Amino acid sequence: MLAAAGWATLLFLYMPILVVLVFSFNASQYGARWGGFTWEWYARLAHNQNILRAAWNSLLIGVVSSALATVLGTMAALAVERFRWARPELWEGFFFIPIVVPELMMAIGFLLLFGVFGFPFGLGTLLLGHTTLNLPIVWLIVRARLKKLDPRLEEAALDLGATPWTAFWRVTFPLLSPAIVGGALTAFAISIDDFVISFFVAGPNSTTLPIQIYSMLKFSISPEVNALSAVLFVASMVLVGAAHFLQDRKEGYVH
Amino acid sequence: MRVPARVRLLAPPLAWIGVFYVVPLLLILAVSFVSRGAYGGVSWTPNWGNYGRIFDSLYGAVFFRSIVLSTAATAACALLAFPVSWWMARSPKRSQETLLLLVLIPFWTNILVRLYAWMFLLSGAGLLNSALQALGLTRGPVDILYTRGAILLGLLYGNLPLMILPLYASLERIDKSLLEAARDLYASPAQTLFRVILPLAKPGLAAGCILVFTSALCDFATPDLLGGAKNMLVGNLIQQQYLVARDWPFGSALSLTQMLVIGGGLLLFRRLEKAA
Amino acid sequence: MSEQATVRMEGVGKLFHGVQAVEGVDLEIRRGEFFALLGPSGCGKTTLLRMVAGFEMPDRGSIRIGGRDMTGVPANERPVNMVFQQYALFPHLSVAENVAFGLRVRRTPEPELRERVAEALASVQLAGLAGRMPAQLSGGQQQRVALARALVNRPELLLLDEPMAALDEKLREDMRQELKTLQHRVGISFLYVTHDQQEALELADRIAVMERGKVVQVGAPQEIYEVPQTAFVADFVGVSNLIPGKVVERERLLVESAPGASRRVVLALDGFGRVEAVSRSAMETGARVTLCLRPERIHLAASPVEDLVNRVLGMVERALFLGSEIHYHIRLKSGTLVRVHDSYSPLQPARREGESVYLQWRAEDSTVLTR
Repeated sequence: MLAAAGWATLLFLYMPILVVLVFSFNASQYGARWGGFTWEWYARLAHNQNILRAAWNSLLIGVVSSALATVLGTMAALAVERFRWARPELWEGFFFIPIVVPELMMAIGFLLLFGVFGFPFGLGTLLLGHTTLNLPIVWLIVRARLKKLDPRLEEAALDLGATPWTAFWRVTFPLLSPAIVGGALTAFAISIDDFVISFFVAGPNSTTLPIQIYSMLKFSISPEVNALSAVLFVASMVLVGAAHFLQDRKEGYVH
Repeated sequence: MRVPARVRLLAPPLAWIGVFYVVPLLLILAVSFVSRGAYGGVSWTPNWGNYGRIFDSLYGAVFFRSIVLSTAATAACALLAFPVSWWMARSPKRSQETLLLLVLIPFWTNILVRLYAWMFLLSGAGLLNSALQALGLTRGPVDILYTRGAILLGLLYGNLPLMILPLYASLERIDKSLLEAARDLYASPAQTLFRVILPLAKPGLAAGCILVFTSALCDFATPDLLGGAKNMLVGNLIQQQYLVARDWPFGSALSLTQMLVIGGGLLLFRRLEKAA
Repeated sequence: MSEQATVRMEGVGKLFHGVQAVEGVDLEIRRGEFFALLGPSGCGKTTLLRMVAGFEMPDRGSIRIGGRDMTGVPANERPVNMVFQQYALFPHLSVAENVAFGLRVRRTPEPELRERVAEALASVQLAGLAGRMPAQLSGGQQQRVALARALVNRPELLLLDEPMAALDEKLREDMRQELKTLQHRVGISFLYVTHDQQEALELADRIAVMERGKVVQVGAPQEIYEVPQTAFVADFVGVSNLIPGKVVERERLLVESAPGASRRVVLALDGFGRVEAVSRSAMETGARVTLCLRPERIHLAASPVEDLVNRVLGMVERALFLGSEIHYHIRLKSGTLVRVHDSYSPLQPARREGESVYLQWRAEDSTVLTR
């Protein structure tokens, strides 16, 4: 019975998406009537300039902001975890707040910051917004790994004659790299997926995919949305699967 | 003077969060006490009236509706998440990972895609209405989309993984021998559930409730797309004040009040949790 | 003298979060010596070891290694290597690369490096496992890798931080033997930290017993066991009956200050009555003392034996059979409980519970503790 309830809940989670997936191949324009199989909507998707531009923007912002967030977040984690501070919990709290406070606040804050200081909304503001959103996430992921790493490993390297710099690059960094890669992937996924912040800080020429979908849903639903949804669903499946696989493979190092 | 390595390492991320996070938060606070500019934006003259406007019956009703719907969604999530989380936690280790992945994938699918899926199912010409008519249960299309019921469904659907993940995490940690011990000491399955499992799952349940409630109260895409224009929630109201009405000071007052509601909810929840 | 010393600590002290973790430690570790730091957890032995390694800096005093003052010298520039608790093997490097680490960071030429790694692995019988990853090794093998990784650098001093703690009982015994053999072969001084008195007694040439940050006694294992200087040492190293009492009579010596001279004293012990003992230090009549009486030094007999001067009657309350030994709990008439260890032989029947026995020992079998 428990298993039935479990599968039923999973079905509830997947059923709507799967229905859309199936109907993305529906030749009929309208809703629920099945009109035969077609690739037409995918073909149209591939030629829709608005969607392609939005996808390009999403990718660009995803890559650049996750790279920035990964560098900054890793620096924060190393600085707080690997050095002695009188009150480390102060720094921890500082980086925790953006994770705990709802994203809507961050979005509003950006709108005001850029609005009040007259910063033009566009790719630049999106980039700043997404990096800020992701920095604490990367910090959290790298920090978790650092906390699990035996500090004696680094001491052992020093004991064997390595300078602190060599010890970091030969021991800490290789052991940390799965978390750094995982953090970067997560940041990329969050950036691609983000709607709230993008909605508040995007400019007229910097539409991202989620915003593009939103305006399609608001103003002109067409079967292309089905196809786009299907593509995004499959993409997130691949991304989550890949991140999991990567994590799984490298997890062996941690005791 | 030489700057120590730890400072050189901490300064860039610290400055980033300071400039792009702390300053904006303070800005929200400051703007909530000034006036709206003539063409939107901000005019820096003090204005204490923004908070007073919230108590207009119109906005008060929006707040009330939001709190009721978010609470209902939280409760529904908890009820629905418990069996599936317990089932996952009791599954063999290897399949647990797969099941977790299965829960994560919809969660990582874009919220708008998920909302669209429900719009597709629930709309007048949608699959559900077609099915109802085909079965002869209703004659014409029934209004399902653009109702509060649809919003509740959307909030439940969108936030369910937020409840499952922490709940599963705390259930998974329960040692199997504890259950055997309970059975050994004459507890029935129901007694085991209420006297052993639930108390041990409380941290996860609490974390899930906080996450879902907060996320539901701040949501504006779900009520916007599934609720339509007449079922506005706080999230929509705030979004409209900023992007449509361009009344930033009032929007700031609204969002800070929303944070107060969330903070109050959190405190109340802590109370309840301790009392229970 | 300093030529013979690998390590010399003078007045070493360290404050940790306002607590004196190590205080006024003066120690000398001789060349080629197996030196153990023994004490309960939190006694400061690990902190002291970490100060020698360079992971902590002393607040007071100085540490010299090979005649060189180590103040301000970072860990990576000290001529010592460490075997860590749980070994701290680099999980992302193979066994060979773990061992090669120290040579690599010092840019040892490749041919020499390969030769020394192979030699080090062979010396710990791991030649065949060079390509394995640490996670694929058993606990004992991991320990050998840790040893090879340290010794390949030819340090002046090898530091070992509870190296047996991660091993199970049976393996520990084998590794102790191997460690001792290895130390003889390489001839490097070992500084070995442990809370296990058995380990320290078996392995070390000399032991320093630590209590609450201070070294309370330094000496050869036998000396520590036979002539403990404080009740703490007597209690921590081996099992003892510690009986409080006071001096009632003392023998006068011709030369009071003769070092190491022992004299006969008579004590009045709580619950025992008058007891003869031997003391190495001068003491006044009326002084409060504690008598340390090892359980295996007490002879049990149904009737008095002539040349055992001390004698007290008791009743066997509990007899615990441990294979080669029997441990008795014996209750005296005064209510005091005394522990007695007797070797077991099937030819000689054990004392039964409830049986009355004489506890007897010579004056030389006990130690008088003034602290």
